[in-house]
Amino acid sequence: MDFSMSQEQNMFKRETIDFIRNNLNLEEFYEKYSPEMWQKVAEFGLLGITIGEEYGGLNESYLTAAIIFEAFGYACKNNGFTFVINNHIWVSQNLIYLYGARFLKDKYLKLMVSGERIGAIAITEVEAGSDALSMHARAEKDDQGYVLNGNKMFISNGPIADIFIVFAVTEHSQPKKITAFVVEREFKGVKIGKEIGKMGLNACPTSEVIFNNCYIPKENVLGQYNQGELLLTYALEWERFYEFVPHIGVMQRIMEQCSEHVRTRKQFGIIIGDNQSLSHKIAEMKVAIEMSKQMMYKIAWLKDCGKTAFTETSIFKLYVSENYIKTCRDALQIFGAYGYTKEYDIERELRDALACSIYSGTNEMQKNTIYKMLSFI
Amino acid sequence: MRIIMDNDIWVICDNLKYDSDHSLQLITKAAQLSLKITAICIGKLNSEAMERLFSYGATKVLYSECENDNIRVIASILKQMIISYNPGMIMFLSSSAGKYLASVSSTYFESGLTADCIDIAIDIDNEYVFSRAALNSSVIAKIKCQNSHIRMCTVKRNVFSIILLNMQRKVDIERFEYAKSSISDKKQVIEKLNFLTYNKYVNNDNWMAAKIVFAIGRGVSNKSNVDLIKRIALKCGAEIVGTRAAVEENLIKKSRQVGQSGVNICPNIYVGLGVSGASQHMVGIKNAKMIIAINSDENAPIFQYADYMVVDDLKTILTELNTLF
Amino acid sequence: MKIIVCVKAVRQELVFINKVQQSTYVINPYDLLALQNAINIKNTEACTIDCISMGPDSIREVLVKCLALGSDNAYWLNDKAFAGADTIVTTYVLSKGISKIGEYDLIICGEQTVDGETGQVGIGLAERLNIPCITNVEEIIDFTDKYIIVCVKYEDHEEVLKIQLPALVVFKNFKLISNTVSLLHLKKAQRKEIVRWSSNDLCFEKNWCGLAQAKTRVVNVTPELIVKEGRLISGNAKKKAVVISQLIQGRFDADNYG
Repeated sequence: MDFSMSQEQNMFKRETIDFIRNNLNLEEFYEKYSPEMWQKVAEFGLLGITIGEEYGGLNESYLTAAIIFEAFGYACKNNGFTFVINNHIWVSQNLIYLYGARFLKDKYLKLMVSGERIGAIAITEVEAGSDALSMHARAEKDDQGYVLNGNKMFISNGPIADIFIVFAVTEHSQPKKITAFVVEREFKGVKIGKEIGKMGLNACPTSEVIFNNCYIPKENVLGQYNQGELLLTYALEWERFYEFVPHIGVMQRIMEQCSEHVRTRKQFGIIIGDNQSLSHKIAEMKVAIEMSKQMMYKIAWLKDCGKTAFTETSIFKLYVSENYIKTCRDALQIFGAYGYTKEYDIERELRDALACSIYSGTNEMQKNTIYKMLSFI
Repeated sequence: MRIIMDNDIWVICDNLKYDSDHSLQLITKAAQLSLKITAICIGKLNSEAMERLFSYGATKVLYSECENDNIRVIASILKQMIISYNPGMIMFLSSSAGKYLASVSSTYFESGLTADCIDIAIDIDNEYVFSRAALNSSVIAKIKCQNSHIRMCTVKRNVFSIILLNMQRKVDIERFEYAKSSISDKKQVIEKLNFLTYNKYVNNDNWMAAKIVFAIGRGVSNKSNVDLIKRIALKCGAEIVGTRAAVEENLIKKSRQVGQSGVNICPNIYVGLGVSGASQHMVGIKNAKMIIAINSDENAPIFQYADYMVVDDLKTILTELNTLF
Repeated sequence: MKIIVCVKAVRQELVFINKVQQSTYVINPYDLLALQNAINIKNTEACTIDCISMGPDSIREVLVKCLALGSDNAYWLNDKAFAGADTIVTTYVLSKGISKIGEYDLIICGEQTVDGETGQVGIGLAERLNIPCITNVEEIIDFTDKYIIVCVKYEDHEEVLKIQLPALVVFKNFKLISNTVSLLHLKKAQRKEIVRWSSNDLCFEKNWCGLAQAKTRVVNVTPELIVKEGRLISGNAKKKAVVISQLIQGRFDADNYG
């Protein structure tokens, strides 16, 4: 085991932090998506870290990507915007890169890495949340391609995305078979619903996406026909890792703010950090950050070795999300009334954080998965 | 006991105004260090200005006529002078021209040069000790020259005061004829295409003489605080200056920067607003008569130098102050 | 056109006070502006930029950054013997490095460094290389391979000068934040070779041996600004403000206070 970072990784990390602090922390876009910021991120080269050079990427390891995105979360106060980027990279662009046919890669990847096309993934439906496989969306095969019908709900990046990875039922047998498709926003029959207001993460617009007799050419099948369930598993694995890596950075940022605050604020003549009830909260934050990081290194190592990390990512997702929320909740308590005001960032951090026990599979579902996987060990 | 050197100190006077305040400050200081002070005047003939130097401690003026105010020509003449007379120590003004002359001379003669001195003394070994602020910490480095027989330094304006001697020294002006042939031909490769004087700067350094000064530090943190400070300053007749950090944060313009890489001032009252007190800034105000420091961090270094300390949130204090004037 | 930019690595905390997580080196802000101006020239005319820097082992990243920003080559003068160099030694070593690089048309320097703050190196370097030196440069207005035209700003006036090349120009201002370097450029820069020369490579004259040649020596470091026993003004904000206003107006009665 070698936990030292290479000089190159160090430079990537520092450059990323500088870039974000100088370009992305604009208060006016904390609750609103900014195309200019997206453009800057693309030019900076953050979208294609693990993508091959032939598509304009950096061809770096998953570990380097994890280090960069941890730094991203640390520096970027706009958690919603971080979410936009991760949705694009890990559950849209990355799926095409890893599982797509040559035709799909050549057609879409360069445009996605350069930021000209934004990606999204569409799994959830009104009646199919945690139980994703109960989805109703269906695609009927004909000579040239598929006709897609169905409504996908709570699609992050929905209002801004150009390319959707859509999962739909292709065989009504028992168990039913699903298939993943690459669907362009410009395809006939694609309709984007109204933006859905949310408690947090508002820089990441969310909407319903409706497919009404949407025609998909047969080349746009992602992976194998009727093998969508496997792809869904892969997608969730990537999502549970890389959408939660930045949260470690956010925890670090919040811990630093708390630490600074308790060392400077005085009540009853002493700095409030001298009260163990507060200092222990910060110690717990530190423990959570360190433990999360160890798991992050392990999963990155697994992925760099080409192994699966289904259980590991479930554990990671569960642990990081619970501690991320706890960290924000404790930060609010540490900052007291100030933390509750709109003038400080803490209330927004907490609102943003609360979603993470729900997305990428609820924490309850993760526990089911972890327990179920025990029988395989 | 004060040790006085018997070797010659040269003061390179301002080539446009030999008896400028800055030149006189250096001559006054030199007179405290040595008995032989030669003032170097290279430029147009101005006997009145040269004679005036003797009332501040100069014992000799070495003058060379040069119609050209080209600094490269002046540097060549100065080189010839140094070769001919071999002085022990040379003091330059820390102006653009002074710095240029100092750099060229120190390189040419391979001599030790201490930039922006804040003090010069002589130690028990009869050697010059030059002081300057070092790094960003609150330290003063004392520097000696070695491996060189000419010692050089530049000194900023307002570091030393001017003292008029009560006795009249003998006027001794020597004209130095330089070898025109050996003047560096570098000047020919430089051609002046355009020249623009802006009066706003010339007449606008009165602020340096202000009695009350408000200094903006990084702790001021935003423009609305700056506006508040401006309002208060206007009401009580104070001028506004800033630290390097404040300049970098765009809170104040560069020309108002005080300290090592800015100007020095000596107001009666200095009020540090969110100024942390790095030595580089503090050397620029070390002659202030009273220092009031307002900072929310009780450990800020500025409190070590302050006469009056206020530990509080800056915005709150400013808001209160604004109602009092 | 061939441009050489002199760059010094300075500790990050000297540039970004309070914003630093881990201590590292960054390009001296004055030199960053110099480099940026060189890159601006490169954007309009075919030219190569060489960065040269003297510094210890830990400054490699700064040279990588120079390459990533747009410099074609990076030269690193690195030797234990250079530690503690004063301006005389620095200009000597840089002049030897530049002579070894060979032909050049223009050398660009920043006015000073944020750690040394002497503002002497550019001028001294030009003196050693025996080329004209223009200080206080505000901007490069025009250039060909024979001359450049620069705008020079002094305290009270500005001039526009035309200078035959080769020459050395010293920029007056600084720039804190570099243009964004993309991760791809950074990666490419990492792969580039940085030429590293020690004193043995630089053909010093026999009597030169690094620090022993320094003309100045720090004999003592003291916290010698006058430390005062200041008076703490207490009370609520209102009270404090009243005292401050009295002090400013010369109405403060020290004896009857507190």
